[in-house]
Amino acid sequence: MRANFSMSVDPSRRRMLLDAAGGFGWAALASILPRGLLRAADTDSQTGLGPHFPPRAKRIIQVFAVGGMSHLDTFDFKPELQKRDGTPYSMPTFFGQGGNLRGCPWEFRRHGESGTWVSGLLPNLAGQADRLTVVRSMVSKSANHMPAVAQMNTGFILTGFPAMGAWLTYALGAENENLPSFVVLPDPNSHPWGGSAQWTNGFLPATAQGTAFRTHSGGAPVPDLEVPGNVSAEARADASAWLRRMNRAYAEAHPGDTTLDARIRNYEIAARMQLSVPGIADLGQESEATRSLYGVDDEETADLARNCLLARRLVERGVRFVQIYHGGSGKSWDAHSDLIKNHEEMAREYDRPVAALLSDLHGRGLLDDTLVLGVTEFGRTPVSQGTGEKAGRDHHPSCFTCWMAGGGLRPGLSYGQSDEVGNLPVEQEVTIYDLHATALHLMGLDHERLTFYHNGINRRLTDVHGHVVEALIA
Amino acid sequence: MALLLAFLGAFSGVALAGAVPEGNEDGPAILERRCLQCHGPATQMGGLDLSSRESAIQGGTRGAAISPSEPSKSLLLARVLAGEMPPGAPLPTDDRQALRKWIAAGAEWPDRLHDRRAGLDWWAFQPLSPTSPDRTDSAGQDRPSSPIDGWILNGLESAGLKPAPEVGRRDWIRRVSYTLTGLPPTPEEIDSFLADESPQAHERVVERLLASPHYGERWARHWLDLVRFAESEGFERDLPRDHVWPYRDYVVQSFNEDKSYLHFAREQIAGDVMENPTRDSVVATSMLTLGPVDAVGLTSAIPEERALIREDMLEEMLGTVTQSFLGLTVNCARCHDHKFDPIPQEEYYRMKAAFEAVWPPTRPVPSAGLDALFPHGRPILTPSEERSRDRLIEDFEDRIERASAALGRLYRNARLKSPADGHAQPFARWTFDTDGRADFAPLHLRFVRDAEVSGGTLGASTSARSAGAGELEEEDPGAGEGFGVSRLLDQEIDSKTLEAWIDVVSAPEKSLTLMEIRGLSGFRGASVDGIRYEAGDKPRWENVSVGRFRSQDTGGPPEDLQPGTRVHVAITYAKDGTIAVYRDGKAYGASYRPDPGIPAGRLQIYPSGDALVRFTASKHLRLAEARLYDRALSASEIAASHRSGILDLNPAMLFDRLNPADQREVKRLEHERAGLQRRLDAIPKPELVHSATVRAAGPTHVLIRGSVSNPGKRVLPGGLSCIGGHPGDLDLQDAASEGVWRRAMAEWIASAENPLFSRVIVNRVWQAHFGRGFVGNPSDFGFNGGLPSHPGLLDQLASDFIREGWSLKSLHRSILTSQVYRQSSRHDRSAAAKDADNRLLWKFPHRRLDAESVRDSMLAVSGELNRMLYGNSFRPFEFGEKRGSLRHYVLTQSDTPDTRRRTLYRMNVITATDPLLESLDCPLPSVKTPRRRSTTTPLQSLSLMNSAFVQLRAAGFAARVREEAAGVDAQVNRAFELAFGRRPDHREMADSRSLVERHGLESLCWGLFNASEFLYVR
Repeated sequence: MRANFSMSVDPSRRRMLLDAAGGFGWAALASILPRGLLRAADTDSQTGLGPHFPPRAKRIIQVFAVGGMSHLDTFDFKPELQKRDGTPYSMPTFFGQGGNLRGCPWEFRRHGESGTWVSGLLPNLAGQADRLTVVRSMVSKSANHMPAVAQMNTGFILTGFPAMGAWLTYALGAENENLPSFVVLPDPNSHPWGGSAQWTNGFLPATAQGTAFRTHSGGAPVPDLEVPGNVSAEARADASAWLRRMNRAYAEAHPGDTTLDARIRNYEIAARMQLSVPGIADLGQESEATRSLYGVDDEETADLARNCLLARRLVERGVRFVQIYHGGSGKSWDAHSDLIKNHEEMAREYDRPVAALLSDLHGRGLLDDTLVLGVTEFGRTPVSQGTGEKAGRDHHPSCFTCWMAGGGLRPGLSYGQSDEVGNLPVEQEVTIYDLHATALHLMGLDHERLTFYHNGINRRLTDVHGHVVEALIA
Repeated sequence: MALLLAFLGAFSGVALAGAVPEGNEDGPAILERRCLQCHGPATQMGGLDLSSRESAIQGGTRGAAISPSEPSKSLLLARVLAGEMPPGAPLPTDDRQALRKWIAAGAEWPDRLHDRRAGLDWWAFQPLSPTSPDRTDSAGQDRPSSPIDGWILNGLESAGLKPAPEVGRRDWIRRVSYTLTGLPPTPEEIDSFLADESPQAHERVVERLLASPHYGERWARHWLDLVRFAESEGFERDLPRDHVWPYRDYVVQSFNEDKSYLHFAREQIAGDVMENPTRDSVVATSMLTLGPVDAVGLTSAIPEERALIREDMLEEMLGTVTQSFLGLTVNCARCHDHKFDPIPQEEYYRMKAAFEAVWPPTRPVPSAGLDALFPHGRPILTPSEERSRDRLIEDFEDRIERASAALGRLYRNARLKSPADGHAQPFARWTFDTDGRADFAPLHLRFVRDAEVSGGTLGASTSARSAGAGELEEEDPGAGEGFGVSRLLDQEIDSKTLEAWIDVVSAPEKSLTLMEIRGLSGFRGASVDGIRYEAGDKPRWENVSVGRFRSQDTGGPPEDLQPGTRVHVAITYAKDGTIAVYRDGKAYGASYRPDPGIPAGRLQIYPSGDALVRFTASKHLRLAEARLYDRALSASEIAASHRSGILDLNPAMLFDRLNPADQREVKRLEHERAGLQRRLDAIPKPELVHSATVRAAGPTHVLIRGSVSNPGKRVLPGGLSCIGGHPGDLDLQDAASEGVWRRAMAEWIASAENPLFSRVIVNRVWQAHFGRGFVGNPSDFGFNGGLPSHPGLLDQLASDFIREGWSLKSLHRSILTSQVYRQSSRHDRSAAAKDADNRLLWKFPHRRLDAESVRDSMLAVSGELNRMLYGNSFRPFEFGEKRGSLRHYVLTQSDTPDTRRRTLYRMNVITATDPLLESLDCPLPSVKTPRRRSTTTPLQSLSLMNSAFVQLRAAGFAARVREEAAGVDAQVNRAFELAFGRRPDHREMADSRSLVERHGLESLCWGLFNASEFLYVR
């Protein structure tokens, strides 16, 4: 007998339970139903909620190096590539202008007790080597930025599918109802290719959609957060009280529709967000030591440092999934030409804030149940694009490196092996589906049971693929 | 309780099983997928039923299928291994092995099969069977006024439920106004309805609303959701599609005209290849090609990647067609047989074959060297109009060319000597004296954007005239530099020399390629060589090449360009790949030989007919003359060329040197040419519309496991085989044209014989009235869509719909005049306990307005709605902010009459969605959305509370109320009437009065817009 994969609760049954409970009100109902179920009723969603088994991690911070960070120049040390530098090698490339093999211009060394290989590009992150779990055998499906970023986010190369943060929100709900549970912190210089489609809820309820904070300096961090300047606090307070009375009366006259009560609650939450979010986004509240650890006041690192620090403040307050973008369709890790200049510049921005995030989370005891994912959409080719000092590397989806840290992982582990020049994985290949399945697993979710019916298919984050990579888990 | 749940379960009908993982199926899964269609509980060919162990052992006419005693000798296995079963499509080896293993292991069945997928007996595949509801008069029950009411009452009674009482008239008119037009009734419309005491009062309102043009706007939105109406390309560039809005207007108009739905569907599938295509029928085919286009990926250097992207496009197209019209997810059968419905993989490819040649009207712009494809429109012309227009244009262009050539000859006669005299003979030369014509080879230039020849040099236009050459502007909105682009090479060029005399206006801050030769076949593979000024730390001259494979700093001294000087630069490319740069006749640094070990390091060959020469029009560096040689000149030849220099000539100087007769001739020719040019410009430009366009396509093969590198057998177009009474064999010939194929497919899909076609649309229309269709998943009538709540009613409405000539307005009338639609939304706890989802319709569902209705209603209530119909979309954003290499959309908070049009007319750009609309569940334009969600979130509250749009409308609303009523009480009354369609009660009046007195009308108006009563329909 095949197991029933779905943990779904029949929607009719849920609504009936809610209706039946109408007599004793929301508080009583909340005490007898799991919180997720209650939320589901608000949102007309179709799947039951809550973890499938005890989670190892309660929240995720994902740091996305946009543009394609070179695995060969960061974590995947290939002595053979150094040796064969400048010799011919045959492989297809996206731009069709593949040159000779090119060694890594930076020195690789082993770091920490684990002896994890990290190149000289990332000295601070190397200092965190014993907290990292490095996967050097990642493969992705597209050699093109936008679809590849979409696959890392949603599992699919077409837009319109829910991002992992949306799936987690849908499955687990918010820990802090005064904050969105899926927050996106874009690079203030530019959004990734595809823009908000990269953090869409897709076909999941709008409650699951990512809320992109405005990360440029100045202005409210959330759209429409601020009461317009020409409305006095008193006028807003009185009008809100009037509105509450009207909406309460209307809800009482229409007992069959539970969304009417949810609306009243959401106005209250919104009002609290107006008060709480600006404070959370105010990094001035952090100590000088913390600010300098991240590099908030250093021009080179300021943008990513602000986002990393904000991410920590958000997860501290119960945000479930924070996604930080480093790079976008403007400036990014996309080193088609001048690999050295590009990666040195990007790494200087990236290295210190990200390392600070890990040590800060650790110092506050948060790393134990926070999963940090260091991802990129693809790696870069072992052959150069162009010649000479200013040559770059092309897109390389068939082998790249991601790193992870924190909740439930085996720290200091380097997993997977690419071939002698880092062109293809030779063992322990890890697909993006596998990465997603593993992340969901650490969050207490079975990727095969987390489904949502849409246009004829019970959709999953992992489509019909994916295996939990048990070896990564402590 | 258990009984109750079982009852509800039967109605919920939603399959909750997870997707079956691929490639590791066991025996039962294979039986389910490949055998049970013919040997299942429904159909038992040869008397065999394989859905349980018992029935399999019992066997059919040929005996037991499974032998428990001797498993390896089982008949089932023998026939499968012999390739006889399933007939025509034997099992792959993996599946055979899995079956053998499973049988050897004892052939254990997991209960009864066949309850997890649909067979040929699935309800939706059966022909329509319209029957009247079998009503017996029960005591005290009014006779139903329509068959709709009869069927609904039957359902209610069988569950022990009663319909709700009739809704109040105020609520009814608000409800029906939103259903048909998406706008609230005005207080005047309400009053006149309330005053109408005739029995036809309701019908009169229905007729008025059906005749309103706002009806088409409202219902077009439902359709546009379904067909993922997007006015941008998606993927990384997300370029705007400027010619898509005619499709939106076509849909609005079709609804307003009550066009036959059969015709509406056929036009969208094959309107461009019908017997007599019209503008509208061509526009209709936009539906096929509104999906996202990965224009960058389509030019990948990796052929498999290109092929895969094309297959994805076709799957998207086929998915839209089959889900929209047939409610079937045929696209799920691209890699394997459909997991839930009886659709073999081969039939996916048969359907795809009819669409294989369909592309969006996107086109490459290689001549400008711009990468890849751009959204475009297709000219609306009949073939004969197109031919005569082409002839006319060709004729003018010929005559202009003849005049230009004659002028060129006269001017050239006026030159004192040819610079070729005594020096190397160029392959082509551009003197830029008077125009962009070339000497020695017909590589005459065409100017793009602000490129022009003036004062004897080529550069960026110095006048403020708008960028000409509109063609490219249209295709590449907002693009940068101007170019002089030559005609295609008429001879292959390998070794070569590029030479240019450059007049310095000022030193450019950015690097610039002044003269280049470039191949065209795909920009990924394109090769380029050319004279480049490298700006930056060390300004210098260099050869340009894609990927810098042939580019190097030659070590020449840093360039220090002085305004008012002239620089001579030449680059030679020798057979062995050596490249040398010269400045002012002397070697500039050292010559070098790029790495010959890689193809891109060798001498590039520019083929005849597939390469051109391009000059960049700069305002910093102007070209006084340029030459192309078909060999590498020697250092001394270059020195000589520099020494002899060029003739600085311009039209006036040349003219003075002509004899009077030639001067007259020049004047005559210039006059003639200007006249011809005016007439050419005056030829009306055809309207451009988005649509399907047809490109040559190879034969269609089944792709094994969906892999583009693993083609299987060849197939011809055909429909599906699972639809009862409507065979999918189209009997099409190999030699038939693409148009014949697609037309046949349109006629197969949109047909009275196809029961899915009518059922699916009737179900959608029902859903738009009641929030939910008989089938809850309106684009999936297969197994996962579940069973319909009222199959009899669905079939009856479908056959009435066909009989009424596929008239949607007739269907509306019959639904809107039923008692079911006139029920109140009153809640009934005991009914909810039996049917919480209200699938039996014991009340009218209480629902939130969709995003567009919310925004439109605020505009209507504030009196600011611009009711202009049709036309170009409004764009509350700017496209152009450049970050890196890409342009982005930036939302603007503009508030103009244009932005105060209905939301339908807001340009549907994928990366320029509106936060307020998004928070109200407006879907991404690129996503097929058969049913809107209705969520309520804190972000939605924030947007409704604080967004600039709501503030503006509240202010407008307050201004309107002040104008229409005097005194606070009268103003409160008016505000309630406008927003809610009723007056406030005493308590509300007191509460509102005090709010207005303290904070003004704006506060009240803001509150009304945020009130549930405004945002919901009951």
